[in-house]
Amino acid sequence: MRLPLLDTALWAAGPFLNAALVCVICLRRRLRTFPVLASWCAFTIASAIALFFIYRQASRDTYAIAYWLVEGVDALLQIGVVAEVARIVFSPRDSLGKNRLWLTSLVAVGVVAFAIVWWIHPTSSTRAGVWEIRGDLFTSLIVSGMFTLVLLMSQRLGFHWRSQVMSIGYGLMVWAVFALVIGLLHGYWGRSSHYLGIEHARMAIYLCILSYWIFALWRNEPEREQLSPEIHDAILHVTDKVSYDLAKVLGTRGKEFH
Amino acid sequence: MVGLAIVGFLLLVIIGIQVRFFLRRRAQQNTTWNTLLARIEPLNFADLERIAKAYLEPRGNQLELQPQAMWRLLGGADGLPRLRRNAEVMLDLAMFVQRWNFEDATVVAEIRQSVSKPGWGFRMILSQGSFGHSAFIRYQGNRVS
Repeated sequence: MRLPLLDTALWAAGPFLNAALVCVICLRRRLRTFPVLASWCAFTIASAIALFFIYRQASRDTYAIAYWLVEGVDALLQIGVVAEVARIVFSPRDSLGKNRLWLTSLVAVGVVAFAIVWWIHPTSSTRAGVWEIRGDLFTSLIVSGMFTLVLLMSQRLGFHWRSQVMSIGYGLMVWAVFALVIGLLHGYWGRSSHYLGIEHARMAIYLCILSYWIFALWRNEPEREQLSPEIHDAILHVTDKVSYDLAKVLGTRGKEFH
Repeated sequence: MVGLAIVGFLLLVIIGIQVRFFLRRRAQQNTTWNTLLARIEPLNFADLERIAKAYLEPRGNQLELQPQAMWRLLGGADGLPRLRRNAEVMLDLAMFVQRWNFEDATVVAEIRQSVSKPGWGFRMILSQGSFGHSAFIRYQGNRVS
């Protein structure tokens, strides 16, 4: 079966841009900073090639098994990319791992996503079609929920996003929103005539984000400028004063507080 | 249909959080030292110290300060919002310092910890009181450019 030209172009552009992104990550020596992102890209290329040959040469059942396997690993890697962004933003990390609110929120996101996906009944002629829509929506809810938590916690704890990780973050922001919109539309229309059009839109947005990441990771991180000596001294003065005042008041109860 | 309505609602919430984050980060990127200090509201550290000491060193089993007196020392109805606003300035200060090549990373960790370490109510109030007091005096005394 021959695919229409648009589908072929969108399908081929995915591995091509992923390969370009992996090259940029390796050439610009960013592999140590973004190992999960690079793994996600490499996996996308490998899985596209593998699925292509399985589709052409193996049985439908084999293709179905391979497809679900690829979807599962892809979902885990997407979650991994969000975790990687969190690791970079919250570095050096002191209290986040023990922060109960953070852990409770993560569990809540998982529970809410599972409940919603269990609740909805998208229209589809096949059982596999229903589970595909549910699976996509579940991944979208987890990724967007986790990423929103990272945004909220970074603001709450006063963590600065440097330029490159912010670019990855902006890409994830757009992806999280559109993935949810697409999940919503699939949930409403099911596998009707709109399905392919929506999938084309999803692919086009994904390709735009990949292009943006290639551009952002190719550029160097802007150098941090030196603070003027006056401001440097003023910051030290204020923080020293706060530490001194705290020590003065809490000093008598130091053992209980430290 | 209810499930989809919930997803739609979550989508709006997520977009709202993202827009707020984007706008706040842009404002933080453009913040200067003087605009940061100009946002600080003065606090009476001595009053806050009295509240902390009343809890840390209660006489007998009784607190020296009654809730009404404590409320007054905190600054009345405007006291807690003022502490919160100063806490936001402290967080912005932590982000401001991270933007620059500031060699002392412990300073950033200290500022952040003073505002956000959970379960440290008095430490937090005292930090903000001391910060508001000393930074405001510095701002009044000599602005730096």
